[in-house]
This record gives sequence, structure tokens and C-alpha cells, in this order.
Amino acid sequence: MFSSRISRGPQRNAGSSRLMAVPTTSDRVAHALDFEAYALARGRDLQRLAWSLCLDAHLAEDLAQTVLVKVYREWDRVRAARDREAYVYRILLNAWHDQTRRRSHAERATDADTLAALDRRTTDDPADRAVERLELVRHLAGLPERQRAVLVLRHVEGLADDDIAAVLDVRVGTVRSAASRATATLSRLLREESS
Amino acid sequence: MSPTEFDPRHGGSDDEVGAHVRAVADLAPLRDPRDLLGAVLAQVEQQGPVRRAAVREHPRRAGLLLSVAAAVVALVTGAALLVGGLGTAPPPAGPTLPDGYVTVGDGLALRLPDGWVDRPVDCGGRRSVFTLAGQDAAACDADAAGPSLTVTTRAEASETSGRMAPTYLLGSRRRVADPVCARGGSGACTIVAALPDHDLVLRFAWRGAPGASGASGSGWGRADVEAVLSTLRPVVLPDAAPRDAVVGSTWRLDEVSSQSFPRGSVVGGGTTSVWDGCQRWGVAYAVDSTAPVRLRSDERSVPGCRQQVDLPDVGAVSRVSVNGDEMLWWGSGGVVARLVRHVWPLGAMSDDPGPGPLVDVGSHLEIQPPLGWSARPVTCGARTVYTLGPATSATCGPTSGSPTLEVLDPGIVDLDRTRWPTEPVGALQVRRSRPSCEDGHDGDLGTCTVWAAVDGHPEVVAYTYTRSDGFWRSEGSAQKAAAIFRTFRPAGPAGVPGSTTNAFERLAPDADRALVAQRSWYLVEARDRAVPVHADNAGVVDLMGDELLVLAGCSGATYAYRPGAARPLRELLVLRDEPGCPEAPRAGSVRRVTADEREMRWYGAAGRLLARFAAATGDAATDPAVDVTSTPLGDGVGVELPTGWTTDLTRCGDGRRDHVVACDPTGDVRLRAFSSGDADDVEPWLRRDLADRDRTRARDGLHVRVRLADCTLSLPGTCTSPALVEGPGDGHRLVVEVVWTSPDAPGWDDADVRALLRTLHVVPA
Repeated sequence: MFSSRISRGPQRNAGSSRLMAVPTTSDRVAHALDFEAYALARGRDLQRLAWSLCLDAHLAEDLAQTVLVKVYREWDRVRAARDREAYVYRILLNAWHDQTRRRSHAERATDADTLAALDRRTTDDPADRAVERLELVRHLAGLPERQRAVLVLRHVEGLADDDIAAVLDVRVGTVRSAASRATATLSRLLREESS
Repeated sequence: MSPTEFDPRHGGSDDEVGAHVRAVADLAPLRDPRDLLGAVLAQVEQQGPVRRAAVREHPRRAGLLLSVAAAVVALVTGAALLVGGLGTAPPPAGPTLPDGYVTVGDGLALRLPDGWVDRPVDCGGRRSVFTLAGQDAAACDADAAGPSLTVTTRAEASETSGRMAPTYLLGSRRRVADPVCARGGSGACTIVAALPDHDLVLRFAWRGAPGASGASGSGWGRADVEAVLSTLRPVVLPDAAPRDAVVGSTWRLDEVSSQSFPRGSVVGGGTTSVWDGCQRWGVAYAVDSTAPVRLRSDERSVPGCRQQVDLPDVGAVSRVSVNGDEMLWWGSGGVVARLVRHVWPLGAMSDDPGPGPLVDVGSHLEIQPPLGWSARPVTCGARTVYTLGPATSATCGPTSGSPTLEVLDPGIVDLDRTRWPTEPVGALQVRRSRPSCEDGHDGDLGTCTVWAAVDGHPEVVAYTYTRSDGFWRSEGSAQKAAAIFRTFRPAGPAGVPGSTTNAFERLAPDADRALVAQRSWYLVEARDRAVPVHADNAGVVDLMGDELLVLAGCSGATYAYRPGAARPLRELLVLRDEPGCPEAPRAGSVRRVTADEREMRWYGAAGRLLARFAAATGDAATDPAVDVTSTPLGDGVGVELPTGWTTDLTRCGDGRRDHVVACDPTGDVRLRAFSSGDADDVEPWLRRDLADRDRTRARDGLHVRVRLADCTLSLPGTCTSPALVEGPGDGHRLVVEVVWTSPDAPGWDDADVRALLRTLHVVPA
């Protein structure tokens, strides 16, 4: 896991342009409606990303909601951020980190039991293959969380290593190293799976 | 390779790993974004306004914001009603489930075909069987009769049926396979359905003709299975008990179905979570939610856990009611569990010697652990630790053996207390988390922690206990924590919370307000530790209105302390938490302040000296006698420019000359000022944005609120520190802004901004 929360907050565009903005009643309404549009547009992506990180349906649902609540509360900053999505990624990763830190080790979500109970399918039935993928979740879940975050941001969100480094507040070399180790681990597991 | 083409058996390269990851992402269970948005806005509304400052200073505006949020919730809910259809609709006002529907578990119900038996037979474990009417009763042997539906959990299905082949998946993979029929005779045909997001396996079985691929001799086939599956819908809890009635109390599971169970199964938390007595999660039913019932599975193989509680089948609860001290969980066939309200007063615990001394929690709160707790707590960084046991004082080390009660500085606590259930304690609303347990090391079973907080107060109190002594005592420990947290009570002078009288006068009767206000003070001692005095304004105490500000000397205010404020939560700021910064008393812990010409003392509960300050002398930065070269900024306010600065704007860079009044020798650091009409444009925004942020005091009674170092990401980026300057009274008002580029002006930072702003003064007319 990360050694700590990503501490350096996203930098904002500030200065005279924002100074001259005068919030009005209509601004407030626009604030809510603007956020609504964002949430509706990005809601599925955020849920998908949350799931990819925590690999637990219930926790992912909580995580996505938590992130959007935080985004709502910081909407002015999010909207003003130079890279809005990077800002949201950071919120998401910090929330995930908090969620992981607080979660009891004794608490296990249903999915884990579900996955453990599933047998491997050997047929070409598409449904079976879907179930098969569920098993693959375990491989991803077995990665250290930073490695998992790197893989998810790279392959699900399609971020470049530089962008991932900015989101995680680490060096690019750290991102590449984590990605390399994660790829090696997953490749090995997949080879073992196929053997 | 697209996710749908991914074949995990190949393993391999980065591309394949990427396909793997995307394939996993593709399995994400997705809520309708409208539902998600509705939940978000509802949570925002429940938590209160977005900006607390707006509430206090602009109640109308904040009210409008809430109205907008509520309106959006209503819009979204309405849209969901119109578009979402059956699966997302709120609960009907009538019966628990529509006619013909039965709960099948994990928050789902389906409609049985006409004539089917709607009261399943308990076949042990977590299995339910529904069969076609005409038979005397549903049979546990699903293959023995005509069409039947067996509902099990995945784990159960795996144990009893061995390898299964789920062929039906909801969502984007909706499909129903052909039935699998026994060969060589009129054997049984079977279709097994699995739902990726639910812990359910549905097994349809009927007798079929040899070789039949669908329709069979019994007239039952794939189309019938598909028709039944199409009726699956979430279970809603239309008659759920009032949330407060459930989560505000502790409940013990008294009976499940026809079995009796030992004590120790309790209900608590934001959902009616049931512990099975082994510190494991059982099932969780959302009390006040129309969302499908959630499940967190429990582990049964816990060392020392001898008691097994078979909770109602997951999703079997469709309604919860509370009648006095009894909570009933209802399923489709009647009551499936009964729980009784459990009262566990502090004095009733067998090993509790009775109430002990009051513990100062801060912000005018006290709690009262039992006798035997350490009378001399220790300060461990931002924690104040009390322990139980023979030790005369607590230690800062890891918890070992004894319970530990910690008062946590809210500035370092990042816990979402809004999700903790609320329990009224007197006039207070106490929030208490569910126990969170951590695995230990070297055979130690670890510790559990229960957090608690009081609405309107910033502090969080943590009760940590070991769970190495087995379940029952650990479970009792959780109850003891709850009992202790029920002793929360207001502290300090009567009527302090919510009082509208001047806070400083109320809290510092022995101090001369003017005496304190006219001086700057250095923190020289806090609690039992000496605080070094730094040269750069370390530990300066400043007075801003009713607030005592303690500046850490670490390039920012560490604590903004409003003594006696009714709602101190938003008065505390922790901007820096760096080693070496002096520690000031926690917000709200100061009960009395005394001061003379040289020394100011802050006292806490029981007259304990919390901090001592020395009057500053000879500090030019805080000396009110200003004799400097003044550069006018407008509106009767001037500033003392640092050495080398110039007002020759031709040397102040380019592109940002609007309202620039001065810059440093390099031109990279620029001071801008908006006065009069210009300030009218930005002042409302600044006032709102900075209300609870950083404050400092300039000269001649001028107040300054500044937002420190707001920088862009670009390199070199632009850093901006806008500040609102006002006072005394309505005499002056303007906005000043320090702008610099980074890293081109690497020597400039927040401390410089503050130092510059402190030189603001009134220019004689």
C-alpha cells in the first residue's frame, strides 16, 4: 500500500481570473447542476475504476459514492483544476487508501467467498468464461495495492506513466517499476493458470 | 485484444496483462449513475452544507444550496421513478412484496408461477426449495418431484452439488442456456442460474423427456425458467423500523426462526449488522434504505468460537419492525428473527468498579470511564492516552493488555464519522463506530477499536482493546466502550454550548481582554513539555475577534482556537503537522485564561495548567509602533515593503500588471491590491472562501485573512496568495494578493507572505 495518503493536494489554477468571479444565486444552482452533469457522465467510469481497485462490489459502491461526495464538496476546486480527472483520481485513491486502512481484517465481502467457491470452468461456454474471469479477480487482488493502482490507471484509464506518477505523487521510475513487477506477477499467475 | 476476447489461459505479456485488467474492470457491477447521484446528493444533504463557513456567514445562501441539493435529489429520484422501472423504484406503500413474489435471498425476490408453493421448506443450511403446488409440500430433494426451484448460496451450492455450471447471468450477459437433461430415460432436466453480483444460485429442475432440449414431458422448459428469472427484482424494505430506534440501541439476537441463541449476538452500526458472536460480520440489513440487502459474509472457523448462530438467510428479511424493546425481522413466511433491546449500563458490568474521574475530551466535553483508569494521561503526539490497569499513568507504546482510551486530535483524524450511528446521550448526539479489528502479530489476535464522537464537537475518542482473551470478553469490551461513550456530557461553565455571550469574556474571566489583545505572546510551555521559542514568530498567540490563534512558527497557523465556541469543529485548523512545531493545547480544552503584563496562562479542567505564554517584546513584526516606509495600497492602507522591493512597475514583469503596486528585485514576486470598487467584486468570494482558513493580524487593528500558496501545476507555475484586509470596524477594506512564480522565486514562500501582510497598517489621512 502507499506509505501514506497522497498528501500533496492537487494544485489549482488560481489568481486573478478566479478572484474576479462573483458567486451568485445562479452560480449556486449552476454548481449543483454542473456537478450533476459530471456525475452522470462519469458515474459509470468511477464505479468501474473503484471496482478495479478494491475488487469488492459493495466496497466499490461505497467508494464511488464517497468519491462523488468529496467531489461535490470540492466541486469548485475540481472544476477549476487544470487536470480535473487527475484531481478526482487522487480523491479516489486517497479514499480507497482510507477505506483499506479502516477496514477490519476480519471483514470479508461476499465476493471473496464467492470466488473461492467457484470451480474453474473448462468449457467454452461464454457464461463459464465470465465466471472464469471472476477467478482472475483474485490474481489482481493479490497484488500490492500500489501495483494494482498503477495497473488499473494504466490499463483501465489509459493513463501514461507520467500522468500516473502525478496522480500517485511518485516518480515516473517508481510507476514503471511497480508496473513491471505487477506485470511479471500476473504473467506468472496466468501461466500457472494455463498449465 | 479486447476484454471479450481475452483468454486467461494464455497468460503472458504486458498487453495480455492489460487485457486481463480490463477484463476484470469489465466485471464491475455498475449502478445506474442516476441512482448513484441521488445517493450522493442525499448524503451531502444529510451531512450538511458543503461549506460550513457559508452556513455561518451566509445562511440564506447556504439554505439555498441545500434547497438546490434537495431539488436535485427530488429531480433525480423522480427521473429514476420514471426511467428506472421496477428495479430501481422506491418501495411501494402497500404490502412488503407484490402478490406472488417471494424472497429468495441476497436482497432479491422473484415471482413464482401461479400455483407454486410460496412457503419453502427449510432443508437445512441455507437452502430453500420451492415447488409446484399439488404436492403436499416442497420436497428437499429437488429432483424427486415436478418443477422445482432450489435457492442456495454459492458456498452451499458448491458443497452440496459439487461442480456447478451456472448458465444464467444477469446484466449485460443475460442469457439462459439450454437445460441439461439426464440421458437414457425420463430423467431430470436442470438449469442452474448464477448472478455475479449476488450470493445466489438458483437451480431449476424438472423431469424431462430423453434428449429434450427445452420443452419436456412435464411441460416445463427453458422458456419457463427464463420467465421466472425475468421477474427477479430487489427486495425493498418498505416498513423498515425507524433508523434511530434501531441503531440508537444495542440489540441482542434472541431467537432465529424456532431456535434459541446465546447472548452476544448484537445489532449495531449504520445497518442492522448482526455479529454472530465470533467477532465476525454476519448479515447486514440496511435499516433505512430501499437498496437491496447487503451481505458481508462471516467466517465460521474462528478459534475459540464455539457458538454458531444461523442467521436468517441472506435477503430473507423483507421488513423490520420495532415494538418497544423488541425488534422483529420479517420474511415472506413470517418472523424470521427476534431481537431484544439490550441495556448495558456502565455500573452493571461485573468487573466495573463504578464511575471514575472525568476525562477532559476537549471542546467542553467530558467522558467518565470506570474507576481504575489512569488518572494521569499522557500526551503522545496528537493523542491523549488513558489506560486501565495498575499503571499510574498511561504509556505511549502500543496497546498491550489493558484497554486504552485515546482522545485524538481532530486535526489528524480522518474518519468519516457521518456513517457512524447516532445515539442520544442527554442533549448530545453521540456517534459510535462499529468495532474495527486488526490482526495482531506473533500469535496475538490483535486489537479492536471503537471510535466515538459528539456532533458539533471535533474530537474523536478511541477505545482500543485486545481480543486475545476470546470472543465473549472482547464482545463485552465493545459493550464497555459503548457504555463509556454514553457518559459523554458537556463540560465547563453551565450554558457554554450554544451560548451567544462573548466567548472570550466567558472563558477568560481573569484575563484582561485588552491586555491580551494588545500584545503578542510566545508559547513557551505546553502541558508537561517545554516548547522552544523560535525566532520566526514561533508560538505567537494572536487574538482575532473572539479567537485565540496559536501560530506554530512553522510557516503557518497550527491551531486556531476559539474558546467556548458553541461549535468548535470548524474553528480548529491544523495546517501544519511538522516535527519541531510547538504543540498548543487542543481546541476547546482551555477553560480559563489569566494574564498579566508578562505572562498568560491557559488552564484546562480541574485547574490544570495547559500552556504558558510570555509576552513578546522588541519584535518589529508585531510591534504596533510602526515607523517604516509606507507604500500606500489604497483605501487608507499601506504596507512595509521588504528590502529591495520596488514600486517601479516597469520592473515588475509583464502580463500581470493589473493592480500591481510593487514587486521584488527580480520582478517575480508581485504585490497586487484591489481597493474600493475593485474589492467589491472579489470580497464576497474571499470572505466565504477564507472564513475558516488562515487568519493573522496586521497593525493598527487591521485583520487579515489569507489563503496561502495556491499554485498551479505547471512548471514554472504561478503561486497566488489572496488576502482580505479589513478593519478596524468598517474603516478599511481591500484585497491584496501576492503572486509569484515557482521555482523562479524559490526563496519566497508562505512565511514571507505572512510577514509581508503583518506589516499592513493604516496610512494617516
